[in-house]
Formats: sequence, C-alpha cells, structure tokens
Amino acid sequence: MAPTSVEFARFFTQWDPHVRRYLIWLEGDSGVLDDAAQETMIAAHQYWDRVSSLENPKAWLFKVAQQRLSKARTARLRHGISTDPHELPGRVGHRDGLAQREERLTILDAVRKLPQQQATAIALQLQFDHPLSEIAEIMGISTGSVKTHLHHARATLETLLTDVDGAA
Amino acid sequence: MNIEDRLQNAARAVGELWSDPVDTAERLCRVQERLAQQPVPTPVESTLHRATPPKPSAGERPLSEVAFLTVAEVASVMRVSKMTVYKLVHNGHLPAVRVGRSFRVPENAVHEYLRETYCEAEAL
Repeated sequence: MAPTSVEFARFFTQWDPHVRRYLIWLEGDSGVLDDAAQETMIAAHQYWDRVSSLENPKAWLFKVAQQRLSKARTARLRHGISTDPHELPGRVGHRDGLAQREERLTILDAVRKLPQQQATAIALQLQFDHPLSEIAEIMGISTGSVKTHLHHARATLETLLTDVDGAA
Repeated sequence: MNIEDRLQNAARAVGELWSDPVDTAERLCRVQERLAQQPVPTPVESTLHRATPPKPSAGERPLSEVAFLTVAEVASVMRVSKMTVYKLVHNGHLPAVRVGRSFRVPENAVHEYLRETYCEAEAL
C-alpha cells in the first residue's frame, strides 16, 4: 500500500538528510550522491509496507542507499557525466568558513579512499554515533569484523592524512 | 589536532548539511515529481540477506521450481572469477540467498543480469 503524501513527506523530511549525510562519506560526486539518495527514497515509497513496519528504518535505508549508490556510480560512468568531485551539496552555513570546509573535504576525501567496508563502518560510527552492534546489523557482519574495519580504517586514515599534511 | 578530533569535527560539519527545511522541501518535490512519472512501480531490490523469500508474481516461476546456483557455477556460466561474482552479490547487482556462510544465486537472476548488461552494452 502506498503512503499518503503527508506520511511520505514526514518520512522524507526525517530520513533524507540522514541518508545524504551517510552517502557523503562514501561519494564525492554530488550528482551521483543526489541520484542515489533520490533512488533510496523512491525505493522506500515502493516498499512502504515493509519500511513503515520497521521500528527503525535506518538499517534498511542505509543498505538500500549503498546499493543505489553503486548503481548511480555505474550509470554516471556509462553516461560519461561527472560533476565536480569537490562540489559539496547543501547550503553552506554561516559558520562554515573556508578553512573548515577545506579540512572537511580533506577528511572526507581520505575516508572515500578507504575500502568500502572500512569507509562504511567509520561513517556509521562518526556520523551517527552508532554502537558497534548497530553498525554490525546495518552492515550484515559481526561486531568483531566491525572492530577490525574501524581499527584498519583509523590506521589508514592516520597515514593518509599525515601524507596530505606533509605534502601541504 | 589529532586524527580523532579532526574526524569528529568533519562529522559535526557534515551533520549540519541538509538541515535547511526549504532545501528538504525542494528535494521532496523532486522525488514526488519522479514518483508521479512512474505510476507502476518496478522495484528492483537485492534479495541479499532477505529474511523471507520473495513472493513469485504471476508469470514468474514458483520458488519450488527456481534452480539455485553456487557461486562457482555462476562464475563458470559467466566466465568470470568467483571473486567477481562475490563482488556482484555484495554490490547488489546479483540477488542471492545467504545459506550459512555461502550464497546461492537463482539461475534466472543470472540470466536476467546477463540480459540487462548485454542491453546496456549495446546502448554504449
């Protein structure tokens, strides 16, 4: 059964920003990110019965978002269109100074260079402050594996960011 | 500043993105326009880790008749490595059922994937 427009608007307003804040850790191309986020919300609309029955749809949304991101990347590659990878979507707030923005881009770029599982784990922990058990549930792996991914991610990030700082 | 502080600062900054209600309303309008353009939904969802098996729609084979292939068999059919098949399954391109620690892929999903990518290759 399809949701009413009010139901869907409420759902969209609550979850679309979360999906985008998750995807930005994995993808720097704003066009691809936008496509993936839109497709995720369209999927939520199509599978409304299932999504609305979930107490916390975050795990479902993030899993679908990852799948849609992969499809959006393939589609963008096929059509040969690419937006500026440094173009960050969303309006820049007043407090968001140039230096802070540069720093954020450096960090995000470094996270995107990580293997997918590591980037996902670190994004879920940093952005949403999820406990290990919830990250494990979203990623469909054990908590031990999550710990391993987070450990390796932090070690690699340390190297990557030190290299960037050294080059600068 | 140490790495952990820098990561936390970046997370805080990202947390402020997409918080403008006007932007959110604009994005909602765009999605609603797209939903209005596709009245008949044709959902494509990975069955990876799905708790209940998908219900066969009219014209599809019932589940009891669906043949399942191992990853090695899919790799052999597609003439690729097993690792490529695992990647396809993990990326959600190939629906699969998890059985313990291994995967089983419905035969028709492999044919469907090959047909789809064949068409896409033609369009290049």
